[in-house]
Amino acid sequence: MPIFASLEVAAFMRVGLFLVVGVFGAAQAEVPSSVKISDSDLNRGEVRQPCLNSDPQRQVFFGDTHVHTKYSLDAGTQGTRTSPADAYRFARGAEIGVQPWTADGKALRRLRLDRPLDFAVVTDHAELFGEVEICQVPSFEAYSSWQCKIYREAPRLAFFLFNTQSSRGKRLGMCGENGDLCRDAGLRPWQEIQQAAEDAYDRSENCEFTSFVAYEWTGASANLANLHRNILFKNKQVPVLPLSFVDTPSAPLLWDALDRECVNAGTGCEVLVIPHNSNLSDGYMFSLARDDGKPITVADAKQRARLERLVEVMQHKGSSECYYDPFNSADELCAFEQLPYSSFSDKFIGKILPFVSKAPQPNGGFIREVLRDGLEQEQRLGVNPFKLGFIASSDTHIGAPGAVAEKGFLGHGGAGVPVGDTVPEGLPDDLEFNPGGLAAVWAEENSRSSLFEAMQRRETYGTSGPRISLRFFGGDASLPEDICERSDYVAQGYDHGVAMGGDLLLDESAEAPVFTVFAKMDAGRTGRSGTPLQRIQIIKGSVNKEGQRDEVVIDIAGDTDSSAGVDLQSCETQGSGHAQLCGRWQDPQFDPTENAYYYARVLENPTCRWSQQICIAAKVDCKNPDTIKPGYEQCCSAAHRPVIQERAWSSPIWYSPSGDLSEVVSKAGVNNENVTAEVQP
Amino acid sequence: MRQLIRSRLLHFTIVGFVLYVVNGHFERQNQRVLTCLTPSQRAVLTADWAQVVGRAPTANELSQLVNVALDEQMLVSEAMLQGLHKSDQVIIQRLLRDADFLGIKGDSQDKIDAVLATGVAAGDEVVRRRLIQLMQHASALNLSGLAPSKDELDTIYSQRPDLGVVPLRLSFEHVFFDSSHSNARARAEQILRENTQDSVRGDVFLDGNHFSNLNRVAITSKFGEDFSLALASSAKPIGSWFGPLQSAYGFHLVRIKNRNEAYRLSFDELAPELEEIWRRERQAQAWNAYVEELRDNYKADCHAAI
Repeated sequence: MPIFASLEVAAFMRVGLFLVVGVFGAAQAEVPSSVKISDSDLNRGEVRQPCLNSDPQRQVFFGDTHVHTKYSLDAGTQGTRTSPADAYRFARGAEIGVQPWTADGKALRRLRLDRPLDFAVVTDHAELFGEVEICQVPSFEAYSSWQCKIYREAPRLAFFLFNTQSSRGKRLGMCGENGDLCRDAGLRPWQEIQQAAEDAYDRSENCEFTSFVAYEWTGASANLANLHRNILFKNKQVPVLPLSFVDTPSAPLLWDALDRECVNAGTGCEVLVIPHNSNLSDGYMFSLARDDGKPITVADAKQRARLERLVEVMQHKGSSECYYDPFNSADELCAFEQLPYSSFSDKFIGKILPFVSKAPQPNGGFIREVLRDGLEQEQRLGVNPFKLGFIASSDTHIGAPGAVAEKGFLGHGGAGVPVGDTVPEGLPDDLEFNPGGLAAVWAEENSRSSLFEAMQRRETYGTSGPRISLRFFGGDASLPEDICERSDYVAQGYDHGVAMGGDLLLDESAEAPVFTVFAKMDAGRTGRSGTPLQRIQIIKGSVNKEGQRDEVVIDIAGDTDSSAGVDLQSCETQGSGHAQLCGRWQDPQFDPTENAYYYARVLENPTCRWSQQICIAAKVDCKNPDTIKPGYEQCCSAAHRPVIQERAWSSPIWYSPSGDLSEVVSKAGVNNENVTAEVQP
Repeated sequence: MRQLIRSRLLHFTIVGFVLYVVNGHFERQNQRVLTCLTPSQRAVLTADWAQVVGRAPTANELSQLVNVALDEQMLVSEAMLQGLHKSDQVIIQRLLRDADFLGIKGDSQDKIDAVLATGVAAGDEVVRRRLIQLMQHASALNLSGLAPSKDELDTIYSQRPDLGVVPLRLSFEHVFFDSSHSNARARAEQILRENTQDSVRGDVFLDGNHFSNLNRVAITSKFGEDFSLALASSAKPIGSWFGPLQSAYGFHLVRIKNRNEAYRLSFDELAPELEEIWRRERQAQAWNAYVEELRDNYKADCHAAI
């Protein structure tokens, strides 16, 4: 998430906050005190008790891998006081206080998840750890440095300068000539983040919650387009300091540094790099050029494919799945949560000069196209640098992982409307933003090693919020015709195919590949049933030998012409749907000579979007101007999308005609020690 | 002796000493007076509040905001009187940067002295926060040797029944009957009567048929609230099939294989956590008491005036 969010944020009660929070205000994570583990308790390479709940056919775990707390400049400057430990407590079901705060330190809002998460990852911006530490202590920052003289006179200008400096990869003057002061000062927050992750991790046999040490690398291109990536470590072995955009001012430099200081450091450090918001990257997120402008090499592609195995398909700041053009796009579902601009610069420009703001572009970094870039590169290099599995997350800037329900959305703060009380009139976030999504991981058990390995092999999917269960297998015709009716569906899938994230390994004599998708609707939460499913689709993207690109979207199960809908006056849903859906599909247009990917998309019946729910609660009637109170004008704007069709996106399964893949994923998958995909040297 | 008494050197010394004492006293008096917030400063507090909360603060809220600002002023003043700014590296570096920004020349000490003389330091957000942090740290250190009594920890243990609760966990298997198929309930009941429960006789449930060591939250996540509640409250013996229980997806025949009742960790198991809670409470109390005591030492007309 962009630090530029602070542009939108006023400094809040600069006097009162500090006193109250202090060293005593930051709540500590509840340490599981009953867990007794010795160094001899090695399980899956971890020092931990073995999980009682472990399933070789894997189970789905829901989490949030993108969470900002008070250590992120753009969170702290809008009143977020949630510490990393608090965020993990929240993810496990505890209540936290949410800004705004009273002068005596009481939160005006409280928030609690109605369903705890299975895992969470705090990913504060690494660029300003040190600045935060020097300038604030113990909890705040940013009105600081000698630039605070400017800030006192023109705070918004000061913040702009502050953030611009960071997103250009430069330290502030307060950090000393070489930035050492800030770098050194960043140690303590980084250690606190590590400690909070350790304290929250359930190493007992119950395996109820997993945390990871992580941070966000907040990079930007020369035109300030978004290049942000979350850096997630498998275990406690992490670099001494996070490698920020200031230290590694390009993605290739970041990968090199991660290889140097983590992967090849000999410490047991393992890392995943997860890009996000390629929809705001103006096409720079997945550049095919090296820093020197030359095309990427085989080595570059291998390095990238090894480190960047997942991408956020959707989050608070929109969907990155596919580009939607209302006049030309065949897939109307690509309009889902598409932002109306191509970068954050354009967002801010658009507020002043709407006609100058650049709209999203087909080549603006949308994943469906990036995946095809990857296929093309595989034809050129023999390696696919963009073999990206899918997850979704929240990118919350109020330290509230998993708060992704449309109902009761309070705003996530990041780059949107500064977080406010529920009392103030108006929408709590920018209209184009949303509550974000969840990361779903198919793993044997809820432990770091199991989840991390699942993420490495891309057996993951993203949802726009609901906890939809989704299986996706691809194989040959040996996938049974009646697989959807078989109680051993999962075993058949693993036995005769590969799971999402894998590569099809077809015999030369094999017919067209066969896929099967099984989805189960969200069971709902206390007092609220889940929304039935409408249909399952498979999206195929391909590039043939001549470089021609193609795309097909196929409904394989459910109701293509569903009449299910939602009453926009009451938000009551209408029509029927499916508690579970399953389909088996063989690609009738399969060409064994072209590279292709396939992924599944599962759609719920339509429901009211968060904004519509708030507009209704405020009794806004767009036909009656008297009912449109200040702050609710957007309810009646042309840009308002009152309906949402929540969904899940599986990681793709790839097909390569060469068969000489750069990666080998075990077909059997389950019960195979070598299931983790590794790039061949 | 008389010569000594007439000595001008002595006279100058005495006069100088008296002036030093008077000046010191005067300065200390001055330093212990809080400067009331100007209307523009109060307007800034009001605007900041309104921007975040979406409305202007009430009179009471504004009063609290102003009081907190005055408390900060007091704490910074006290910290500087205690000389905390002279030895802390963060503040020293900060003062040097302030000096550079203001164009002050000279060696480090000259720069620091000059910046302090301008009064800029007390207005520097970073210095102020750092000073208060140092005072809080010192306050916490004063308690470092203290240890809670068993009675005190017992009190926390009994007053916080939510601490250390380990929830009910169930291991079970089920046979599923999809309600989108016809006669789901009847099929389930028939199989129960025939005692021929087997997953192949039911429909496919995506999450599988066997579950191990799940708490109620996890069960709810997979089956829905109604099923979870019915299963958790079931008094059926371990190992026997019962049902059908209704879920968000259909009907289920269920057999509980293991049931670990909810319990609470013992006092001894929670002792480290209880001690930490006790310590945080004591630190907060000590700090509040210290701030309260300081308020008595400062002219607090502004507190009264608000």
